[in-house]
Amino acid sequence: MISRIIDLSPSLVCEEFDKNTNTFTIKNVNDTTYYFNIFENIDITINVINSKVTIIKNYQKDVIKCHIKITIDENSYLNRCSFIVSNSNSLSINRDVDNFGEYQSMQIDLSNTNVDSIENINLLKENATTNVIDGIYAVLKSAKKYQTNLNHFAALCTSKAKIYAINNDEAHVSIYTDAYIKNKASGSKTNQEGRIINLSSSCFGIVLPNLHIDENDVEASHSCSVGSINQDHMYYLQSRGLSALEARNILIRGYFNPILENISDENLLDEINKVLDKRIVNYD
Amino acid sequence: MAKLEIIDLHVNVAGKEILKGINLTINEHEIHALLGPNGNGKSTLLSTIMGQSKYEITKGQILLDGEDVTSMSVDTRAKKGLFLAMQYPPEIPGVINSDFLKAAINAKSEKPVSLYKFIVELEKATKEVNLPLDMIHRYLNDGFSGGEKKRNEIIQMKILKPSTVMLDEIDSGLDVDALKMVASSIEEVINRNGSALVVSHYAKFYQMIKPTHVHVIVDGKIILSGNEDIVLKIDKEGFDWVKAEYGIDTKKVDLRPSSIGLCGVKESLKNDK
Repeated sequence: MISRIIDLSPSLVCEEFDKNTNTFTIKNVNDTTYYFNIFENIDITINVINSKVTIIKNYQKDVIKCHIKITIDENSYLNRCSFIVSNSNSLSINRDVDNFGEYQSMQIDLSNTNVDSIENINLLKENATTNVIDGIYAVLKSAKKYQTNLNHFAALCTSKAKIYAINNDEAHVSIYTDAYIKNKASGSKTNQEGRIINLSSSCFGIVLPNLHIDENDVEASHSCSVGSINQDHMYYLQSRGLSALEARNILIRGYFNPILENISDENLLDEINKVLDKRIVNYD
Repeated sequence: MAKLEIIDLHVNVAGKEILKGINLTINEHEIHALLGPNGNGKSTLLSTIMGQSKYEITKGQILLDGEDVTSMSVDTRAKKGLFLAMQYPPEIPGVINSDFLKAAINAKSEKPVSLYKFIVELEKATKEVNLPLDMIHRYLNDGFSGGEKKRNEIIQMKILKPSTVMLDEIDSGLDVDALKMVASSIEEVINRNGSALVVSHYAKFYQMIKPTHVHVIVDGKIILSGNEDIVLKIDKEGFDWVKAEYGIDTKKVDLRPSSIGLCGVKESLKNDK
């Protein structure tokens, strides 16, 4: 596995980056992880051609606005993971993805600030697949809005969206997931799952999964839940000697595990685990 | 020490009295069997002893080794040596079985258990209950069969080494070999000066664990206490003799109103009253 660390900005100098079009092209590359550090607001295009790669994006503290256009060709697999933790300002992310191949999109948001994330994913080629996995831990008075649009334009495409959030203090979390299965996108499959656990009585959470289907032969399902920690689970853990706080923390940690198990990069996983553990303990 | 005393225990659930004055003393080295028809308070008694907050104690006391634990939290009771193997252990996705067990051991001990010692003990217990080793690294009870969940309860009992164990229909979903394993696990508890309170409907299981005392609970009261002969009588005759001998009807009548229809229809019926 090859690793490359790149400070992604309009002034970037490297052979993959075309300054005139603001385009970063990954071509004929396999088993490579690109660590993109984003220090400033950007409007950039990423093309993935005949490649199987992972892109890990870390939004640094001064970034407030990013627009990223991604194209994945039919012979490519892109695993994109964004990590939002240290932002000091509100962050607006707009991502448009034209997917002809395989795309996994992950976003872990452990920041204390507002995040407005819109991801439009177009499945444009037969058998294209998309898997969206987001984990959010909202605290203080932060407002997090996650809008994911899964647009099926071709037959036999598959999309999944699993978005889990923990909500505390006076935070606001809104999860909107819309799957559009267009005419002629027959044989398509889509599944949406949104869950929010509210830890305080002053926080607010909403999950709205929507299916917009314009074709007969499809498999579509969605589910959502918003609630507090399961008291039967608390009782079970406490009956084995864990205090209420320890039980709550182990359940919150467990809530993130199905999200984090999709991260194959060990360095990133370690970093996320450290921040997450600190967040859980600090909110005792 | 593992002495458990229940004194005149009355318990309400959702405003209805379920336990109506239970008195029971379990000394160390004793295995008590609790029998009774369904819905007469056996599981309520065990859960109340463990501290389940759904059950409201209106009168009475629970003493563990002479100390009143009636108002103690669930985890404090567990730390003092109480353990309940549940009838329906919940599935908790995301919480890894072995991580949870390690946290439970550490919660009970002054200094954290060494990783090596923990792994050795966990693997030993897992092999003894004949559960595949990979299941201890899976999410807690998530996707486990009924029998696997019960075996997992016994693993926890072996690892946490409680002094007073309560087993609520642990035998359901277990084959004969697994029942023998449960019997030997109870014996381990007794051998370290512990005690046990066991709920089961299965005479064969009681033959394996050899209870020192047998009680029959009907309508929230212990109506009969004695030895293993009671188990044989119930196995042969069921609970019909209870009505003849004690005048208590063991067939529960559900007095709750029922209706079939849409929510709106039910709402309008309510408004019509």
